[in-house]
Amino acid sequence: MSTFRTKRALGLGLAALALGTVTACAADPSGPGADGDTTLTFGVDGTVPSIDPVLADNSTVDQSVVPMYESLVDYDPDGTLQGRLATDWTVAEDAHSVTFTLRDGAAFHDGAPVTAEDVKYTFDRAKALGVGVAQFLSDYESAEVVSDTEIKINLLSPSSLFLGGLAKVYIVNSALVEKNAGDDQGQSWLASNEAGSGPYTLDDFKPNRQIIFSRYDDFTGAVNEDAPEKIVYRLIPESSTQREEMLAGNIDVADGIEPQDLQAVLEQDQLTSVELAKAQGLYVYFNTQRAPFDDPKVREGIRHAYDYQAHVATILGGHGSVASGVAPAVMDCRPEIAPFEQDLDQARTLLSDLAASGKELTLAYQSVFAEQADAATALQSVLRDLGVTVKLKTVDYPTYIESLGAITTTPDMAVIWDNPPTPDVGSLLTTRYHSKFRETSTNFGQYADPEIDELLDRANAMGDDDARCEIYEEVEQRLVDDSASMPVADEVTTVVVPKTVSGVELYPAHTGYMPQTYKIED
Amino acid sequence: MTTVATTHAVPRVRRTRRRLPWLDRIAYGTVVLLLGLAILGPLLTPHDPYAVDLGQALQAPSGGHLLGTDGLGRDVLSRALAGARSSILGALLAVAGAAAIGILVACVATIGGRWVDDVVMRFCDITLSLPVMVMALGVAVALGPSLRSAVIAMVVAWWPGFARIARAEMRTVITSPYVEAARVLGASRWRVMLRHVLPNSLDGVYVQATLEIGGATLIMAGLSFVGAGAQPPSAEWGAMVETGARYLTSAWWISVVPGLLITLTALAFAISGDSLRTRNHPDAALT
Repeated sequence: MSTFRTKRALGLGLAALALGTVTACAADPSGPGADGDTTLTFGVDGTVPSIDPVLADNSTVDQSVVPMYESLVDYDPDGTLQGRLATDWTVAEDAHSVTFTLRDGAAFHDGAPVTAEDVKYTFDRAKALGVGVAQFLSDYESAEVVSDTEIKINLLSPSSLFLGGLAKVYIVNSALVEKNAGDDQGQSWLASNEAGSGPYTLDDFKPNRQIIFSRYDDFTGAVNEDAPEKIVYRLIPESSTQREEMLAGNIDVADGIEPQDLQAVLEQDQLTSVELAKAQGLYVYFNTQRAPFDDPKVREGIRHAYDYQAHVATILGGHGSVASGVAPAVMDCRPEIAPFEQDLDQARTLLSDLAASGKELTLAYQSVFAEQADAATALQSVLRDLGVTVKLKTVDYPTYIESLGAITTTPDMAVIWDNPPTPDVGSLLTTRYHSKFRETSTNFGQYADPEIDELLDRANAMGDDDARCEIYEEVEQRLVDDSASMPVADEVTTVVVPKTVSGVELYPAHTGYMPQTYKIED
Repeated sequence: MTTVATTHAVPRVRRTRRRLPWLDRIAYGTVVLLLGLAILGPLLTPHDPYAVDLGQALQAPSGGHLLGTDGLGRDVLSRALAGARSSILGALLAVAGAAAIGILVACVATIGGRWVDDVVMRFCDITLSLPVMVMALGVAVALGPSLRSAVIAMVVAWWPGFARIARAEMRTVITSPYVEAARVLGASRWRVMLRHVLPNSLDGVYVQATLEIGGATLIMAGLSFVGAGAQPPSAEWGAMVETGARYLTSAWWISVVPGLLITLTALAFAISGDSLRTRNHPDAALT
């Protein structure tokens, strides 16, 4: 009976068994800091098809360009706005313009000085392209070059959000981009090349696979002496793969390891973890412009159906907390709202018409992220018990963002991680819920309410922070009352680093890594 | 030992001819059992295979959940039973579809003349030179990941193998005296094909089909494992292995149970197919 065929059959069987048995690799304890090796390798969860800094509103792109570029201003870990390329700025009396003074001696990686002309070029380019960080320039009107190091920015209307939004508008080398502009304002060139003035230069970029940065020795900004000489980003979306790569010593730093994988990693002696309470949470967004979710009662019904406490305890393994408002709990200006709770009786009443209609709803989610897949499956299961049929649909992030371009292509529901564009809650409320951002890929629910628009416009134009806060709180309360979206849970990000690495801090404008702030001890 | 074997050689051979080896019998029994599971499995589940109960997540096998629960508190035994239908019937369907197309193409090649035969068979050769998994993956992703896409993808990737086997047999049969006789009597080309050649050329295809079901189960599970096949919350076995992979160090049962079922199915069908082949061509058993 031992014919060739049987052996093949046994081979097939063994291959099948291998499907179910992914074995852990042996750990390699050599970390950075040993032997003067100052390369730090990061595991990055997500996809980076392009490193054009105009797309830095996406946190994965942001962490990929932040080592190479500088913005005019940025938030420090304590939440204060600090100058980066700008050393100083003054807001005009009428609040219709801001004048920035640039740092003396600041230079791009090709040696050209950073001038006011470059700032103007960057702003105009983003505004003209109308994608990504253009959302932070919605109040930008024009720029006047006063001198090489001085630039006056004119605003369409006074906005207290404008300065904070500049934290992600990275200044590009205008001469270099212009030379390679092609017919798309340099988008295809910048997608895989850099034109920055930051503390690192680009060594190698393989879309969606790997980015390598080298320290730029002539950097004139605040220098971190203990920063790694080389930074390697390896794009690894799956948590279990990050875990295996970490245990095998192939990556040094990871922030995408999910709770069920963390324990095995932290058993390693040379590793430690830093918990960062980032302003990031899991949300379900409804397409509020189409039936059945144009009816707030239906949205409320879905919100009452979900078991938030079990989500935090089981799916997040306790690493987070139940959402208590549309803004993550770490932000300022939040009204007192109790953490959301499941109420199946109310959900059943509110959803009875929808259940009777027999309509099948679509729920989009990114399957590479376990939390989103789990939440989508759990929501589908509980809605099925209530008689509502939901079809799960896997999407990748670029496809999802593209689908938001029109109300008709926006999915009925989407499970997604969301983080505020800037640490100012006004930026979150405006980009997510103001009707002027509908069909532009930042208003995920295509939400529109003239009263909310009016309140936001009024608050954003105010200079008085306390008064602004008060209006934002009112807006947040109204959004919750109207079930404009379904916040599920606030997350705590666990960054696993070697014990020899310090300086892992939360920079509030950046949800991803800030690798240039990491310090390696000898 | 050798002398003993020689003295008893004659009765031994007779007995094996009459009775199947124990391995074959186990394999046939398992196949029947698995087919029964594919038909009845979804009716036998002790719990709702799709009901998420986060409070019951990651329970080890116990009285309440004989094979434990997964990361969302769903009963693994119930999901394994419910998944039998899509996993096994999906593979059966893919092989049946591929065999049907393969036979049709073989018919056309056989009666279509040398030129048609050359074109069709070279096309088969080209398709066969591509790895099945890679090709199926491409087709499934292009169609949009789902169980149906996975089945279609496998049909697309698999039919040339059947076409080649069927054509080889047809070319032998078509030269037989009884086919000659039919032709001389004035039967049309299609009549000769359908009444005389086709019915006598299918043995090889049957055997090949049985052999390939094991492989098809594997490819099916593989497609679901990488996300190109059955989608959540489907209980397809490959998809179950995938969702359990991240708990492998803490809750092995989520992946290992469907993994073993895939192994069992692949082995049982492959051994059965091999046994059928040996019985059809006793000379093959001598090698």
